[in-house]
Amino acid sequence: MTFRCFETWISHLTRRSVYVDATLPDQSGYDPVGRVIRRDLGDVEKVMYGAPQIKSLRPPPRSAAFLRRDARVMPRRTEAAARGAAVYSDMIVAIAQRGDRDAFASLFSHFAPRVKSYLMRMGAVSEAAEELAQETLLTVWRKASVFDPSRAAASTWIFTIARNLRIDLARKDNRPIPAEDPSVERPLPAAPEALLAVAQDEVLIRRAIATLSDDQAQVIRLAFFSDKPHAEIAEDLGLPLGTVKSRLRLAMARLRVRLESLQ
Amino acid sequence: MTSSHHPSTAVLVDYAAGTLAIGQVFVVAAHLGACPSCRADVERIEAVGGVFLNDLPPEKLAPDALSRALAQIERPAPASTVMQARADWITVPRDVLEAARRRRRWAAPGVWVAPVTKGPGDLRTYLLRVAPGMSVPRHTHRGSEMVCVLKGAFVDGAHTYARGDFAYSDGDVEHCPVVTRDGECVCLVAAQGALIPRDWVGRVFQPFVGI
Ligand SMILES: [Zn+2]
Repeated sequence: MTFRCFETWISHLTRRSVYVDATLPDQSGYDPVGRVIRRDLGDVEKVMYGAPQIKSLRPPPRSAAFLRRDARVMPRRTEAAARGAAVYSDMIVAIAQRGDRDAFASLFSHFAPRVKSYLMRMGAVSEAAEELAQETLLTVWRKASVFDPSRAAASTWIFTIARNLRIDLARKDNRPIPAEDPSVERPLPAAPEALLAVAQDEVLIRRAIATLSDDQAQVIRLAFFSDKPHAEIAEDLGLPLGTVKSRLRLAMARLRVRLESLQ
Repeated sequence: MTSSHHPSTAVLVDYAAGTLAIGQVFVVAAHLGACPSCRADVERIEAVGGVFLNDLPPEKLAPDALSRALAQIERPAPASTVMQARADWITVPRDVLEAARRRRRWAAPGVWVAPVTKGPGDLRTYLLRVAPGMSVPRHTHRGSEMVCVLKGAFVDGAHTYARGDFAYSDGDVEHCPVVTRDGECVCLVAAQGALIPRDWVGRVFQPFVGI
């Protein structure tokens, strides 16, 4: 039953059928298993496992002091600014509906410099961050028809694209996959509409964030900008792991309540 | 094992922020495919990420950044496959199905494994199939282990993990999960460090698994 819901959800997300029954011969004409596996198994193991580690994206780790400072100085913008956020959703829709290059240019000017900023905070060097910011905005153009303004804010959607591209790149550094291999596109489920009628509204999300305690907001910010899982964040902050986990749990509970009660 | 059958909030935050290893992403993604409430949590956390992104001080771009982008926008998008399904499993990331098709090997009577990804470090992500009623030999782990049940169910201590359930254990847990009698169980596992067998069956079993 969950599967049925998920199927509906994912085809909604991609506006195309992505399902292949592995127990049946593929009838769509599209080779569902992609390029890599047409090689023999030995090759696959080499491609998957034998690759040298390349660390092009990662400069030396930053200190805990830097992270703490970074978390504090992140500016909070006003709600008035956030109200303008709906404009960006409209731009994505304009791209989807009529290939609006002016809308793309505006969207690019606002988000590309911020995506670059995000990627540099996550450890990318300037050139790599710029490349990936380019790729992020190009993906916005290509996938604009998949964006649904009733489900997510433009900023949320663009954030997830940048995040996914970054993970794909790190993955390719780890074990190279041919660039044209369709599997480099990373699968990431998102929430069903019914449960999330509110997350598309940036003003409401901002209000929900404002209800978090400083401690809670700090661990969430660090989760997003330190390129480290929560266990390492706890170490950097000199806090017991349990403390960080409970702050995240409380923050989530608060977001859940705030975003649900506003529906 | 934790008994909640869902990833902790901390794991969902790591997932949303993009700081999990790819193998762990696969395990969590498989669970999210089957669990609307965790999916909603992840989407709320992502919405917070979007607000943070919007608030970042912009970084200077190359002067020709926009013109370069505009010159490239007509380039066709790469093929997209996102998640895939097979009739008898919950929906999984494409790489997982690929592993099941191409890298499956019998590890012991009734047991097959199929490596999905390796690394970073000693993280191994693999599919594990165990026959109905069979138990995985008693073992502990050197590090954490994330599991999502793709098909069937297993019992671990007082808890039953069924299709779609998520289980997490860390290094100090010793256990011997038993597959229920009504059918085979297929799990997606991302485990840090090798299994450490705790009885002779396990010691015999381990070299065959060789994950
Ligand atoms: Zn769940």
